[in-house]
Amino acid sequence: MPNIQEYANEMMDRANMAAAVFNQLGQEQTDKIVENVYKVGFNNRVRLAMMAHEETGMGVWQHKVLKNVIATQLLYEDIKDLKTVGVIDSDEITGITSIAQPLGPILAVIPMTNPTSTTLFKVLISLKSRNPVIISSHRKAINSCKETVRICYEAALEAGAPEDCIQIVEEHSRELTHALMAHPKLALILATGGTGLVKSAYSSGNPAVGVGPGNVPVFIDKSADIPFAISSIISSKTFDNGTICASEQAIVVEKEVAENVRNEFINQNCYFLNEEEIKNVTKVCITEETGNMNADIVGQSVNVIAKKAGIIIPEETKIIIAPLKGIGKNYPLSTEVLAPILAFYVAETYEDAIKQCIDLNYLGGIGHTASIYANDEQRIKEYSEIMNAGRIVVNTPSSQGAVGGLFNSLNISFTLGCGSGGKNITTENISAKHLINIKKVPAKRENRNWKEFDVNKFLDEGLNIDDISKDYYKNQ
Amino acid sequence: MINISYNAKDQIMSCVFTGHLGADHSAEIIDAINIKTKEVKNADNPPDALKIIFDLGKVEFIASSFIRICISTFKDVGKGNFSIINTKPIIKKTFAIAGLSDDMNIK
Repeated sequence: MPNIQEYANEMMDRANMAAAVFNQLGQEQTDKIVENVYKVGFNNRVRLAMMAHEETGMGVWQHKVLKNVIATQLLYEDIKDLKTVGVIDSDEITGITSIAQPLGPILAVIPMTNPTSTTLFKVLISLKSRNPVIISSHRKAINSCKETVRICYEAALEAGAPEDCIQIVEEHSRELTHALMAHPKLALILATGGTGLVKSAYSSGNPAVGVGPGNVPVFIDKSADIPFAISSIISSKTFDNGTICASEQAIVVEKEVAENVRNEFINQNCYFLNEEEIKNVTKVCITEETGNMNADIVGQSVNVIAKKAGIIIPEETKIIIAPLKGIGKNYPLSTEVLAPILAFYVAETYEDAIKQCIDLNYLGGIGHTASIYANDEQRIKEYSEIMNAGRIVVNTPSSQGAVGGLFNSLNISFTLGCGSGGKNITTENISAKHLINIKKVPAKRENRNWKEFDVNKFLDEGLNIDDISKDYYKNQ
Repeated sequence: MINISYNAKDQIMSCVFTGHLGADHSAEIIDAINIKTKEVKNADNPPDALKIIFDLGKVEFIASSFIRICISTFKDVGKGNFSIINTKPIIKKTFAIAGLSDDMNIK
């Protein structure tokens, strides 16, 4: 790449031009573009999934197909009726009219774990909100992302979208990504990836929604249907070999039901590691120098990981489980591992179990996702109130539950807001509605209390709130 | 879509556009402007400094290709010799978002 800043300038100029043209399109035209793009994405779901799987060597291609379906068909169902152009709301009572305005060029950073589905998702929500998008893919997923962008762009143009409404950084370059992130013409960064990337996005000077790691604790309460809970956890944690950051990371159970839970995991083909095996698995899963997960095991099957770790497990094993005695840097498997590996904790009491979940939550997944299996509404309420997570999924596979649409009514999203804990402005599932500036037009509605009150009384230090209130609220 | 006239006295070439100026019209617009510019420059009494005005009073939509035509025409004739007039508010805003309002005389 000859001159990174020049290249960034050119891309941003083109994106800015697209933003200008996009601004003229109405809702009908915008929706037509989104419909065309989602259809082409859906029709290519299998091919793109296979490409992503082959290129990254991660996950399960059949599951990547399902992710592509979620990012196209289900996302479309979710956003198709959303108003994103002109007047989007008008409240007769408050007299406030809300008008949508596009943000401008968006930089969408794509992780290698979910490359085609995240690209489809970010392209569709950007187009729905009339924003041009620049895709910056992880270097190990660049070809599948390029192909996704190519088919989406052609479909968008065919439906009347502006030129350069979708661009992709052709050659991966960290410097170029940083130059784009900091570009004055950029409106927003949608960053999904590792901690370093998300920090870069936030330090760029441009608005950013960055989604970093999660560390999802799962509390299985004694009131839960345990066989169902285990089956649900397995279906979630094995989905695409655990590449979704909302997948379960640690199971916490009370002593009273621990044996029951353990036996059910074993019955359903999960393998509990012994202490020696935990050491070996830890070595291959966590990089000793950084304490972070080793990228080589992300999205790998249990058999591949077991082989790397030099341990023998039954061939039909679905998940390997590490019973741990503590949480924190001395217990590396208590942190996020995007593979079919779970930590397992047995707590003496219900309160101890909740406290362990809090520790796991705050260890590396603040604001992200927490999970509970219970049929006791009071305990579900208590758990939900105490966990610091944007979404607390109940009796639901957390991978699929957190992205919305399959098991609940959360907005479909591959970018999960983590609130202030994750340095986000929102805990919501990010969607098209977050990619518009909403202008408020307030009709005149005079505050009668204020109007009929002698405001000079505020200047009198001798009057306290009770004195003022008597007069101020005299009409109520 | 485009109607071009030249006022030799004021040395002003006026291009009046109408309708939806999508990407599919750009070649036609460029050709029409080039032909007229050549004709004006090769006339018996060529202008010292050709001024070009784009009248967008009847234009509903402009694509990126048309914005590029504006930029290229602006560069050809130089600052002070190019202006865009009668824009509808949405078109004016389009130029503003594209960041062109500062350089071009857009009214």
